Amino acid sequence: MATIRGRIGAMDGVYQIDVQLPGERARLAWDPLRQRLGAILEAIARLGYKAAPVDALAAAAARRREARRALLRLFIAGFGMMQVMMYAVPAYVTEDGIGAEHAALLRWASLVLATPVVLYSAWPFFAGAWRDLRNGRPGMDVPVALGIGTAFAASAWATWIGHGEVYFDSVTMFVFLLLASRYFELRARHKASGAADALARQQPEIAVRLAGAGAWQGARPETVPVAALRVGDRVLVRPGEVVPVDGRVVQGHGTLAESMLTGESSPVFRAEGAPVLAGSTLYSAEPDDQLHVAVEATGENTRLGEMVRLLDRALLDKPRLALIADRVAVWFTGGLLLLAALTALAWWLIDPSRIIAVTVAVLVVSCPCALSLATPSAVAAATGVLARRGLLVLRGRALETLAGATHVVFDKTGTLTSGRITMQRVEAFRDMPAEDCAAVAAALEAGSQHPAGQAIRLAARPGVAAHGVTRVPGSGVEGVVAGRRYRLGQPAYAQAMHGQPLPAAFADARPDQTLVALADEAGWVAHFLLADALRPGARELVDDLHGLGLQVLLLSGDRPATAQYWAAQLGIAAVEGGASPLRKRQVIQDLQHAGAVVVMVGDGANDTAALGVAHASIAVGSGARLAQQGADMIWLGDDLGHLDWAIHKSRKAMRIIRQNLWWAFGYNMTAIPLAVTGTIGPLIAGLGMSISSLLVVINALRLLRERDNVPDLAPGAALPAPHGEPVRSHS
Amino acid sequence: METLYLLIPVSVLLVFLIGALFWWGVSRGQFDDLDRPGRQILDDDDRPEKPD
Repeated sequence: MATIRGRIGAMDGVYQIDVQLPGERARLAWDPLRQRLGAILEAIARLGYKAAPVDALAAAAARRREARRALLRLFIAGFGMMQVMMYAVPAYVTEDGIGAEHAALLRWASLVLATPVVLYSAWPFFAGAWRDLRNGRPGMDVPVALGIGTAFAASAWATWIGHGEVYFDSVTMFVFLLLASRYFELRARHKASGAADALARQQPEIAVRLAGAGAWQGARPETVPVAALRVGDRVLVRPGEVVPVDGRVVQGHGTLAESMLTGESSPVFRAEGAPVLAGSTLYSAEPDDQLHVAVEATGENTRLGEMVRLLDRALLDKPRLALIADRVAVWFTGGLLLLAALTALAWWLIDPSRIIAVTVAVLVVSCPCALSLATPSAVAAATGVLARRGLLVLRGRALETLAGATHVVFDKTGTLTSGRITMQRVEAFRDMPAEDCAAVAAALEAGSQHPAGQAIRLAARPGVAAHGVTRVPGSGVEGVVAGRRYRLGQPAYAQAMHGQPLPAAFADARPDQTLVALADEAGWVAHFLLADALRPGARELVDDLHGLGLQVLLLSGDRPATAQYWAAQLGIAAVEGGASPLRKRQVIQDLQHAGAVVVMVGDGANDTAALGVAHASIAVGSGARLAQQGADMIWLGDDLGHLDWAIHKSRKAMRIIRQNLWWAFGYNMTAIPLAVTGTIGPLIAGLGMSISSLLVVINALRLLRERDNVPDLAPGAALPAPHGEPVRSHS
Repeated sequence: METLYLLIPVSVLLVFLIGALFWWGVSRGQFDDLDRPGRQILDDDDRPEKPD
């Protein structure tokens, strides 16, 4: 941090830069007339750190405020509680009682200290109760607010008139313990939001705009905040920089790492006319490779912004069990309030001196706090820990579905296979050397976006150029290279050029290889064998899924022989090749009609219909695109092994939720009779209730424990920078 | 036990003072990240800081 302080602090116009490592915040004071914020942010970025104005991340800022307020309330409650209990000790320990004046002194002191606890720390309970009553549905806050309010009011009255029981110690302790359980839940929730925050931080705050659009030579680069960019502006992206907007390349070409958006760790090539995404990093071998990008979307409208929004929303979506628990809690509370009223009435007839104590005890002990806390904490903890491993949950319900899954259906290309096609072999038929054949093919595929085209292009030396290239999707490409007309693509397509029969060599292709033929008007020139590779860990994943009791299916659009081959490699028994998108959808629907819970894993290239119809869908690869089409989960990263871990974690989460609900319910049922009969007083009742809530939250936090030693795969985790050193991760 | 009439009010004032101090610390953001300082020990680079 001395580096930042030294270099930035020495900049003209900077008064103070103070970096606080906890929270990764820096306090910057500068003179806007002498130095532009954009330049300062740029200088910080050159040091290797990402700096963003804090206010730009509104949700993160709101969360920080919420956490601070909660901590302050917790501290005041806790500190007040300790002090009030100190004052209460003398009355408890003496047998003869303490003198009246001293007792009054202690009570007044307790009253003074308990007041901020009740009025400030316990404020959320009162506000929540008021809201619930206004909406007509009694929630968890109503009995709590009533209990606290009654106890405090009665104690204040007793202090004023000088005799009677005071319950300041019970009240403050109850408030403190309840706030503590809520604080833990809040922390779990915020940890879960950490994935969204990390993703949001990927978006750069500054960009280099090319003013004077239209004249490339004369365009002036100027550093501006991204917020100032408009659709249609042109920005300059240099190698090593992060693309600040969604847009289209208008000049230049380069390779981009979109890994935290698509999960593909291998860079993709983009040339003129190709779309680029905000948050991707431009790599290039040559330092002169710059991209001029026409802006199409900025800020929240980018794919990245969309994903952040989805992630933020995900936590609001509750599992079915949680919704049921919420409804039960409402009825529960209503019944308990009635019970409390009846109890008060009964005791008023039997022994009015105990009415306050018993009513408070009933109110406090019957609060369904544990019931309401049972699920949110578990969902938040599970979502957070899954996100750290690279599985972003976009719908809270997905956890429940994942836990109950019976079948997992995989797409092949890009999911179980890496989608990174490589050239295996070049076979020339005539006397043109293989390298020249490859060069011709590379020239024809110069502008290709298709993985096969890119594989061909990468495998050859560029040396010649092709003219008049026409592309027939699904078949191949035709063009003129060095005066000769060629066709490159499917054998049938290339054959149409000369009409000669297919060579015998074509039939020898292994089922896992794709065959691309090169021909000219005179006949066959060469053929190229391309092969895909399994994703690392695919075989182990299938075995692990079988071990969890799940059925695994492979549905592929490739020819059946290829699908069978890969299925055999992976140990998948149920396989279907040559499946159209509609056929895939049909298979899943049939399974679901038979009662299966189906999780579909695909990359969305040709299985969106199937992904939409499955109970839970996991998007791999072009996750950003799929997020908008409604995938339930996005899977970043290359390591497949986490899927079975994720299913295991979801099952554990559902188990913990059920445990919590049983415990909360059971506790309430046993404690209420004790309170109604006056067996337990407010102190014990409050203690029991709050500890019960705490237990429920702590039980949920068990989900945060990771027993495996797999390193975190958080978005933004170490991406190799062009010079080869890992960029600091923002974990 | 007359000193109690002095000590108890003083203790109440002290509580408020400490509460105010805590509020000041929270508003300065000192409690925003309670996890990072523990890991910070592993992150710092080894070059000695130049004296300010």
